[in-house]
Amino acid sequence: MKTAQTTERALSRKNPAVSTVMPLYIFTFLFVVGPLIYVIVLSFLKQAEVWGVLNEFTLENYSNILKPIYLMTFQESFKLAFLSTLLIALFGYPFGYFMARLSATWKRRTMILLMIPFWTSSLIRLYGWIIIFRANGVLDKLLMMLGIIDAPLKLLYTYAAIVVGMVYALVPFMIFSVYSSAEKLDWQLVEAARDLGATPFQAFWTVSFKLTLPGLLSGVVLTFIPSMGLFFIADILGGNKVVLVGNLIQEQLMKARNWPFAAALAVVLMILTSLMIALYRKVSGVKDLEGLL
Amino acid sequence: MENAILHLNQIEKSFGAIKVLGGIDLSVQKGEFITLLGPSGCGKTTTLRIIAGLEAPDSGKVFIAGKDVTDLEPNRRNVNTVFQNYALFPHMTVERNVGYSLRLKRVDKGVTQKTVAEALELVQLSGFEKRMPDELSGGQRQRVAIARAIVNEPAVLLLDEPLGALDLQLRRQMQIELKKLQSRLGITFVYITHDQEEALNMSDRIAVMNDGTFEQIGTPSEVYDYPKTSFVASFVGSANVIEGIVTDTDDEVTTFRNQNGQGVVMTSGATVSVGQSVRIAVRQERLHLVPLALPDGETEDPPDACLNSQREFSRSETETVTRDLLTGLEGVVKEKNFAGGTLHITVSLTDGSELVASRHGLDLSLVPGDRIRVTWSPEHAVLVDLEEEAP
Repeated sequence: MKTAQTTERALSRKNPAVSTVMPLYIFTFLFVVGPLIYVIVLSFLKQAEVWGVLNEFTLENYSNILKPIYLMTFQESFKLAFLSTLLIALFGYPFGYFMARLSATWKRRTMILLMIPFWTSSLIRLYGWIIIFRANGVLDKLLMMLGIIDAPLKLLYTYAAIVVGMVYALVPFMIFSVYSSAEKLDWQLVEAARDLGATPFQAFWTVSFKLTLPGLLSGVVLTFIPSMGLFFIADILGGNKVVLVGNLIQEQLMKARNWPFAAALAVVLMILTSLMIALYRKVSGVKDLEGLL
Repeated sequence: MENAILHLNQIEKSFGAIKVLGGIDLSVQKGEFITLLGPSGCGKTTTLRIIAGLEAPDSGKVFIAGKDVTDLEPNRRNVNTVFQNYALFPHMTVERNVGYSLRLKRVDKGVTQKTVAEALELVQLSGFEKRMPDELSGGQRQRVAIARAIVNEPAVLLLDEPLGALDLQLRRQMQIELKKLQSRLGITFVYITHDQEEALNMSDRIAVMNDGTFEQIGTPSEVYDYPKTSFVASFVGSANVIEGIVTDTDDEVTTFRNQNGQGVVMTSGATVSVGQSVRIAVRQERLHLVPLALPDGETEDPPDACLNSQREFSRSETETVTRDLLTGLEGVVKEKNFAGGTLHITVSLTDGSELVASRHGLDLSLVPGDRIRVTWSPEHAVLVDLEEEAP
């Protein structure tokens, strides 16, 4: 009798938890797991003659990816993502690190300045870069006025423009990621290092940098993965000269209407980025990526 | 002064408009255990940080082993610090924490390992080499911090309230261990605490600090028994400070009266003249409380036999002590607080000021509302604030 009562009580204690968590599971299943399964299934089907897919199993979509032209696209994407992430880290890490050292007032002000651009659509902000980059645009005029250059640079629709766009779009994620770990850094540890004989640089390298490394690494993950897929930056600032995996997927889906191939490309991209996350976990030893994803 | 291992000369420091240190001087001999004792915000941590080089003084000089190090970076000074919160590197094992300074100096790996092992043995942490700081208890972290600071064999070891975060029992144990360690290593310790008991227990000398200046620098017994200022008297010995005007003085005993005209006695240790305003300090446990006979006409409820006998006993006990006292201060028992082994009795004097007397154990003989006379033996009263201020 007593045990029955206790189990009953235990169950009723459990129930509220279940009812609060359930919506989360339903939501995740409907909007994450479901579509994911659909994409995976799609990637093994055949393209129909006119529209849609045929329910026939094939591995052709995956073997297609191995064609040099598509492999080149992956390579190109990795190259751009790597270059962008490197620049983002070089710029974003010191920014986030020193931001954490500001006074509370200046932290707040900097934070607001970083947030304001997010109130506008990223697409519209990219069009802003067109105005800056185009021949005889803001940048050219400014540089010519200062006498640094004689003729317009014509930066728009170049590789450099894409890189700038990538860095611009993704650097806030790096800054916030580094900032949040640098904020937690106990400054007394740096003083302890100095006290024990470290030069400012040695103290930074052996203590500050090591302790903010998780922030840098999660910043890398947060910027590298999206930079593989941000097709519209390459479209808008690169003028279709550079084709990235994201562009390829978008083209196959919207223009060529080859859904299964687009799905296969998406699956491969997903596997590659998952591998990156696995690598990140191994490197950083941080098992808790839940907050990140 | 020439052979002092550490010498501070007229150190001044302000943070914005707030003056933290007002020109302090301090000389510490080699191998000495000196404690900077003072309430929080008195500038003791700032003093330590200036010695370590983590803070620059506005003016004044810091000498270590005779060398002016005022402008030297912290890593160039032969001092190490045990920080209040230990400041252990959380991403390094115990071994790597302790060996940190040796690795910076590129000491040979084998030598480093041996030195680290010795340091850990000294703080009784052998076998903890591979642990991470978050796998240690507070006391163990404390030991790692000490090992890390001494492995470099500094000329001076600075300790910023190193036992502040430990519980009472562990603190007492660590006090003894630290003291032992200090005498074994022969390293000069500059120790910071706000705990007067800790300071009295461990130090060769105590520098009592208040408002950015040293009130008194002396051995524990000097500071405790012969406080120079009322601040030292009340902070170190939790003494009562009584003001008055000298009425009579001879070789043995000086008498003075407080504002109420009541007589107070004390030993004449210093030269004072009749009519001079003075302050004396008497420690809580030195105060005797003598119950006053009730004035005629007033009746008291007959106390029960037990209480009565105790009261008689207490009176006869105190009377032997007070026999040779000339006089005392009248007052009323205000409240009794029992704090562990000690009973604190607050007495409200007729002039409105309050004194606190302490007793060991539970004293049932006095109850709030009792009229009493507060007395003490002349030798237990000390003149304070002599040069600084004559109110």
